[in-house]
Amino acid sequence: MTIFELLAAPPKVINVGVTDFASALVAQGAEVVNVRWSPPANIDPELERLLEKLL
Amino acid sequence: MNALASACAIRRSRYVDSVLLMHLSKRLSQEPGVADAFLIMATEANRSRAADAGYPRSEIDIAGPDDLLACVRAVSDEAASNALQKLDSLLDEQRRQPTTTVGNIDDALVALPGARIVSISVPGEFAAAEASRALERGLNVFLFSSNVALDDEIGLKREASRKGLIVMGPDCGTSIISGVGLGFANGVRRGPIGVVGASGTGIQAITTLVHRMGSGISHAIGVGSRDLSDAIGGISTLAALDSLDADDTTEAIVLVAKSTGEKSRAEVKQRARSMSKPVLECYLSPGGPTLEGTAAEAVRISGRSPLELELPLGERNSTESNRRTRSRKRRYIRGLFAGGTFCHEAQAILLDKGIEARSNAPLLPHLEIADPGRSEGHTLLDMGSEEYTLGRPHPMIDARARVERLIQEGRDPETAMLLIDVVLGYGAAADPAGDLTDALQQVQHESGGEIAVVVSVCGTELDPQGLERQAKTLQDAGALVCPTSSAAVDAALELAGVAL
Repeated sequence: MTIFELLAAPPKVINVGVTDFASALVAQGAEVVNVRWSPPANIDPELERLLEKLL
Repeated sequence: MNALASACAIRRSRYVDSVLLMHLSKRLSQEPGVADAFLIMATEANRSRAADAGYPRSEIDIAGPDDLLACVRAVSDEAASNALQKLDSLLDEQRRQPTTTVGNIDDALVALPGARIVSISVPGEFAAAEASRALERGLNVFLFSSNVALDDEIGLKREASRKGLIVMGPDCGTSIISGVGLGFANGVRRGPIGVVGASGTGIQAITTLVHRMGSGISHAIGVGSRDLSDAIGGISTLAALDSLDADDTTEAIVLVAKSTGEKSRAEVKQRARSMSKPVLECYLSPGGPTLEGTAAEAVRISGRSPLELELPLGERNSTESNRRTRSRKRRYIRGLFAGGTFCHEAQAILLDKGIEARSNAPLLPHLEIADPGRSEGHTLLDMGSEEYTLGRPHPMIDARARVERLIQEGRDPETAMLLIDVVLGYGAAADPAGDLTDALQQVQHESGGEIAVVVSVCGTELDPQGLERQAKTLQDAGALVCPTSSAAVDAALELAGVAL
């Protein structure tokens, strides 16, 4: 979905973070799915990066 | 204060975002007998804030960084305990969101096939990982989060560029894609003008002014405050310009930024020359254009005549009589801005007139304010900066920091004039003007009417808060409401009687 395709129609949005922003999108009539988010468990950032690469 | 009872409650491993924390604090503080409510994620820094606010360490320090901590002060132990008993029902209420909620981006893609973009507003240290996940799945990114490492930003933008995607941000306040606003965005009609902006309130100002002047916006693409630095090299700006050049609905393009690197600016200029559509560059600096002038010019180059703006509202005569009766000590303008771009523009206008104002976000290094907690001479503050928002949402959502500062400035015998902005739109507070009126009236009352208040409102009649309704609220609180940010600076200078 390139930037050119992004501008071609009103966007469908995935919201990660502040839930008020998802509500604001709903109020504008946009299609939105909200991702429940909380900080990852307290692990070493270097280990996390490695895991990201492996998984 | 000593007569009040305090109580705290902990909810283990319960994450609540900063905006919800603010809403919940407000709701708890409205419970019977409650004087003050304080909700935080119990990181070490936030626990120190709670201790500074007078809550007992013994109750605070048993919470950890993944825990939600709620503290209230009330007229009795019973009132404090009753208020905290409401906490769970308020949390449940907030959990019932109007949107489909899933556990991760992959599930979101199943729930919403054809999703084109991910809007990310998690704390900065976690934002790059989320953005990277989105790019891996071929999605564009709107990255509202700030405090993302520069190297991460460069890496994300290069990756996006390789895939023909864009990363709007980090620190991107606003975008409007085909009429849908992301982050803080205003209700504006669609039209022929495309906007690319390295400044969130810059985009909000241009899009609302273009709308009020009778034209409209095809798309407004935020690129993040650092994109035009030479370290980033305008990666997202160039992608946004190319996409608007290829977009059939765009006829003219505005590029708005507060500051740029020399190399990046030269590269953007070169790209703009090679494009098929006119590009109007608005770099806000002394001698440069204003936001209002840029919006009017954009409307003109798209082949239309800009409409006359209908505001100002307000009792100009009363503010002029206020000038005549004001104590001689009251000589200085104190600007308290929610929008960083309005603070930047106001400083540029004053410098153009030979007036140096101190700021926490100064245009010239020697004008940096020594103590962000105390104004000196003419002072223009970006209240959206970290030093004022630590642990709190942005002042466009949460007025508390600005209200406290308004009252502080009102008690300074040297304050002649308060210059403020009120920013409307999706994502902003439900009633940003109403949040300030008690403080504005208190300032005018305590100063015996000697301090005048000049306001500009960034918004349109299509915003949920309504431009006219908000302007009227401010007018009723005794403010002079000006049609644009630059007109407000001019009015403040005139009414403060600043010798030019």
